[in-house]
Amino acid sequence: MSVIKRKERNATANSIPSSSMSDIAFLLLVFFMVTTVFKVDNGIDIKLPSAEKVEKLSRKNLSVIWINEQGKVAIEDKFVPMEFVSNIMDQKMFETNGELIVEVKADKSTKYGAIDNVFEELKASQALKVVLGAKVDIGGVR
Amino acid sequence: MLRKSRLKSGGGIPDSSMSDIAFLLLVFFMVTTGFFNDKGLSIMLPGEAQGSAKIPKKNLCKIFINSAGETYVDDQSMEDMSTISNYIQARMKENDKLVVIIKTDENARYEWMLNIFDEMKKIGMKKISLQVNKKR
Repeated sequence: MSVIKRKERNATANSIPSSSMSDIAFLLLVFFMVTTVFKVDNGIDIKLPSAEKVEKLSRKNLSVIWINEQGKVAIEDKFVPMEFVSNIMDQKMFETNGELIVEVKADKSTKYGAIDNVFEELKASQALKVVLGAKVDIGGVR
Repeated sequence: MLRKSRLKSGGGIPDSSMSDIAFLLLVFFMVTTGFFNDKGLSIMLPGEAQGSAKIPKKNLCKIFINSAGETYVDDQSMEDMSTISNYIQARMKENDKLVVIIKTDENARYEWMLNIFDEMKKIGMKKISLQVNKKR
């Protein structure tokens, strides 16, 4: 008698309610499906400088120019010579109907001369809306 | 009797592996998701047309950054970031048409210029001009 009783109690206490498990899984699944954007620009290996007064960017009409420590420029995962930047930006300006926003992601120890060259290229193709990419300063330590 | 039992065995879709499938897809999307959270300081580059506007000298404040990372504001050496922002703020109070020119040596680190630029944004200075100091 007592053996049966214990067995019964064990059977009820040990089961985790799993009927809503797939509901939870599907909910998360839908969330990730909706937020997924497949085309991700891997970029090149840089250390972004940190800043405090940063604004959040939107993906719309955005084009990223990467500049590494040696001052080499990469657009969409491909290194390009400095003289070609304005050609590429001309085309992007056309594609976005002049609404292009350019994000310059440069390594913090890049020489400023390289950044200025990129600015000159952007001016040549009238892509004047520029954002200097930075990461947020955590704890305000400089 | 016979029909009833056949219905019972054939009518149900097997759903015991449903959550397995869901989790498999979930893991796939979690791994491939790249969240976009780029942040940065926005700046408007001068166009060809407006670039030639002359600014009177009293409305100008020049910040030099040389290749060693030393900062000179109006030809005075200023080491500390807070000293610079206090100085600019004081000048902003007496002249609301003040334009800050950040003149950076071409061999200076980008980070130094960005720190100054960030500081100017923090104190609410909107009119900033970026220039480069090229060696001849």
